Amino acid sequence: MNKAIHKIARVGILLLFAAAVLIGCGKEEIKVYRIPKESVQTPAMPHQQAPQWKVLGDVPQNWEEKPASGMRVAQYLVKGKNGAQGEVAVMPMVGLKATKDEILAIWRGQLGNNVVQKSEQVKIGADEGELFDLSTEQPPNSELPSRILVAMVLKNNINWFFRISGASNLIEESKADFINYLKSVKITSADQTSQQPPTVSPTPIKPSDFKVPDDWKPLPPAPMTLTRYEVSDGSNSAVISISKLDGDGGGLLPNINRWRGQINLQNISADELDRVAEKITLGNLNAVVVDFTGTNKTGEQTRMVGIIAPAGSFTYFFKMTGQKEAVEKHKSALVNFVKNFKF
Amino acid sequence: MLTEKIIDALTSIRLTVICLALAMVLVFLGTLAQVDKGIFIVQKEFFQSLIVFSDIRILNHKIPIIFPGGYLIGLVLLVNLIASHFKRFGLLPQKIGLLLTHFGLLVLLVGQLMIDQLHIESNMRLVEGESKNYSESYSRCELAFVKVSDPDSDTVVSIPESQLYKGNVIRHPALPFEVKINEYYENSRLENLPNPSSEKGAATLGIGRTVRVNPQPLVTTSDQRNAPSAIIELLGNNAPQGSWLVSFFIDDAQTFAAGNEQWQMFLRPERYYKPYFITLLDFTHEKYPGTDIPKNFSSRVKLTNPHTKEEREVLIYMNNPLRYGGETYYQGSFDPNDDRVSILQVVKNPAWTTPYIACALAGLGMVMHFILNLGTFVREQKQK
Repeated sequence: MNKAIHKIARVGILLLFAAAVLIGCGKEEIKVYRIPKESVQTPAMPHQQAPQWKVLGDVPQNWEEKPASGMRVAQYLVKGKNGAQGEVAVMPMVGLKATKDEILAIWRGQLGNNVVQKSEQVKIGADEGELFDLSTEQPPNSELPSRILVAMVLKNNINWFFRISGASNLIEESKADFINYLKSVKITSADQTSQQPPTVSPTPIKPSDFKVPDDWKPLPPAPMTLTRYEVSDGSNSAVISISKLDGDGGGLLPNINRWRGQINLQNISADELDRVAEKITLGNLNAVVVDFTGTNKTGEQTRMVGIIAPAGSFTYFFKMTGQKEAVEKHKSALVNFVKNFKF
Repeated sequence: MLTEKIIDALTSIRLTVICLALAMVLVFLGTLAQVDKGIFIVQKEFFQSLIVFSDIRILNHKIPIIFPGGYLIGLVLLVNLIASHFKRFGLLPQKIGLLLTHFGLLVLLVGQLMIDQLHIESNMRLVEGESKNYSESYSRCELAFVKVSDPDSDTVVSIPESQLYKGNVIRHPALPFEVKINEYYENSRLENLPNPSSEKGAATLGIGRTVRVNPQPLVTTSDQRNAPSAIIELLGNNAPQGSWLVSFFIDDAQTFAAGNEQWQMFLRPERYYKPYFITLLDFTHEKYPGTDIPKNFSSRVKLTNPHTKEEREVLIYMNNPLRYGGETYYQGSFDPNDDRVSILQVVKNPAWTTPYIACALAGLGMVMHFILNLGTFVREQKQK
C-alpha cells in the first residue's frame, strides 16, 4: 500500500511540475483567421465612428454627391475643367486621441515630400474654424492629389474635418466654392432629419443576389440607392430602386413617411402604420408592403409600391414609383422579384 | 531514500504553512508594485509566473525582487495537498468529509489556473446603429496583417504583442514575407516633422515619412492604456523595401503589395472575432437629477447570427448581461463625450463554474465531517 502511494505521488508530482513548466514557458502563437470582407463590417477605430449626422450646405453645381461611407458622412466628386476630378469628404471624429498636428501629419504623408503648409481662419457654419492648405510639387505619383485643403472645427466635443483634395489647379479654382460651402454648412443629427434618407450601407449587393425581369432596363445608380431600373410601356413608365441600409435603416415609420412625402402625401402616425403597411413573409423574413397613390411635382397622379425587408444586420428597401397604370401592371413582378431575392 | 525525503518534505504541514505565508507576502509585494506598474503588468510578473523577477519602489528606492511566483506557490500547494492526503488519510470511508473538502480545495486551485489560462476579457464599443462582430482587448495589442486581395473574405494574421520587440524577425507560413521589428515603443505619441524636406521621418515608407515617434512613459492606471508604435521592415517576396511606421494613432490602412497579393497592416488593440454580429439599437444613460452621477445604463442590442439564422433583441443592463456563445456581455461603460456610445464588457470564461463547484464540495465535506464526528461523539458519550 505504502509503495503504491509513493508511486502515485511521484507520478503526480512529475506531471504537475511538467504542467507548471509548460504553463510558465508557454509562448503566445501567431493567429491566422478569416473574416468577412472588412467592408461588410464597420471596422473603423472607435473615434472614427460617427455616421449619424447629416451635413447640409450650398453645394456647387460641379460637385456630384456620392453616398456616405465608412467614416465619411458626406462626400462629393468635384468635376473641374478638362476632366480633372477631385473629392470633398466630411468626417466627424468623436473622442479624438490624436492632436491636430498628428492628424495633419497623416494628410501631409499622403502628399509625399516637400509639403508646404499654410493656415488661415475660416467660417464653418456659425463657428470659427481653421483651414489648412497643404500642397506639394512632388506627389508620390501623378494620379495622387498634390493639394489638400482641410478645414477643422470642434463642435459639441466632435472634431469635424472638411477636406477637398485633387490636383493643384483644380483645388485653386475650387477654393472659393469650398470656402462658401463651409460658410453655409449646417450639421444636424439624424433625428432632426428623419425625412432624409439614412446612410447607405457600404456593402454592395452582388448581381448574383437577384434575377431581374427582362423588361426592367438598368438606370444609373442615384444617391442612396444601390441599383435602379426602369420599366416602360409606351407612354407609361415606372422606376424601381433598391437600397440596402445598415441596421433598421432609420426605422419603418420615418422611411414610410419619407416615401409618402415624395408623392406629396401627408405623414402618418405610428397608430396608422398597421393600416397602411401590409405584412408579408419572405422565407424566414418578415417584410411589409406599402402601396400609395399621390402626385408628383407636376401634379400628375403617381403610384408607389414599396417593400421593406429587414434581413440580418441590414434592411432592404425595394420601391417602384411611376404612373398609376405602369405600377399597377408591374407590381406583381416587383413582389415576385423580392420573393426570389437572395438576402 | 532521496525520494522518501522529497516526499516527506512535500507532504509536510510545514510546507503548507510556508506556501500560505509566501502567498501573503506575494500579494503584499504585488500590491506595492501595482502603484508603479499597473494591474496588468503586476498580474503577469507576480501572479502568472513561476519566479518573480521584478522590482518595487519604496521611498523612491528601486528594490529588485526575486521571489516565488503565483504559479509556483499554487502548484506546490497543489502537490502538497494531494501528496499529504495520500500519505496521511488514504481513502478511508470515515474520512469522506475531509476528502471532499480537500477535493474542493483542489478544484479551486486547478479552477483558478484554468481561469487564468482561458479567461479573456475585452470590450465592444458601439455607436447607436452600429454592428460589430469583434471585441477588443483592454490591454493587449496586435500587429495585424490583413490580406485583402481575396474576393470573398479577408485573411488576418495577428502577431501578438509578446513578439514585438527590437530585432525580432517574424516568419509564418501565412505571411509571404518576413517582418523585422526595428523598434518597438510600448507607449508613444506621433508628431509631424516641422520640415519634412530636411528632416528624416520615423520610416521611409507610408505615413511614417513625415512624422516622428516620441516615446512616452508607460501608463499604469487601469483607466488609461498605452499607445504603442513600431518601426518595421518587410523582407522578401517583392514586398516594398524600406521601413514602415505602424501605430495606434494610424487608423488608415497602410496598403502594400507582396507578390500578387494586396495586404494591409495595423497596430491595434487585439481583436476577438465572433461568428455573429451585435448591433446597438438604443443606448440609454440616466443620471441622478441635477448631477453627472450615473444612475442607470441600458443597451438594447440586436443579436444576429447568420450561421444559425438567429436574430433577436436583448436588453442589457446592470446585473442583466447577455450570455451567448460562451461569452457574457455586461453593460460596461459609456463615452462621456458621446451619449450614443455604449461600451459592453465581453467576458469569456469557460471555467467560471469551478469556484462554485469548489465551494459546494468543500462545504459539503465540512458538513459531512461534522456529522460523522458528531455521531462518534454521541456514541462515545452514550457509552460513558
